[in-house]
Amino acid sequence: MQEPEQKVETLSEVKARQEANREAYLRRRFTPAELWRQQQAALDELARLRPDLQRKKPTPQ
Amino acid sequence: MNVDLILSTLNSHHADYILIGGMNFFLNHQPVTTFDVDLWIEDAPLNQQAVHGALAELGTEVSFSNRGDDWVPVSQLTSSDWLQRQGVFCLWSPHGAIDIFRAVAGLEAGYTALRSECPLRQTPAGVSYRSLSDDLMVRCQLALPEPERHVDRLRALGYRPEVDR
Repeated sequence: MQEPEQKVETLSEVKARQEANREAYLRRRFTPAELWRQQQAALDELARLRPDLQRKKPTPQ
Repeated sequence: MNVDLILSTLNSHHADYILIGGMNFFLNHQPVTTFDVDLWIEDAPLNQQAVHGALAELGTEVSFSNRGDDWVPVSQLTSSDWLQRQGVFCLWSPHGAIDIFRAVAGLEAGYTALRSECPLRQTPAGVSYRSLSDDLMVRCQLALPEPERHVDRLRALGYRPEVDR
């Protein structure tokens, strides 16, 4: 009898599956409030890494 | 997220890597929201040991099962052999998500052949990292199926389809 053919995942399929697994793991591990805090901290880090992107609001004429 | 700590820990372990993906684009071009650090590593046993050591020090965790229900700290793995199990690893660390690539679509010439095209750069805090060049970033985008390409990134990288195709 012939073995059922096993599909070989592409690199992008492996990555998509692993990203989904990581997201699910973080949702199990952290409360929504903690996840929110981590996301805010990540945004702060992005701002720190590119201070040149932060522009002052134009002064009203 | 602490990008400087992730990169400086890799550097202190003498890991050979190239920063790719959204974080590399963000640091060198335009604002994009990115929450992970994508690293293409030299796929050689000695370098895998260095990367393993850095990831263990960073408190990184990895999962190997298809369902993602077996997360384990890298520091509990006895060797770097796990880095040979698949082509890409999406990891979690207390300092931010880290994706490790052993191969990258569009860069089939390989790490050793393309490394010299990738400049050494520094974060604003002065941490050195090797950065995927603009030309190679374009190649990565073009290797994606058209609907998945970041057209804004291609434009920022100076890609002109009518000329460069």
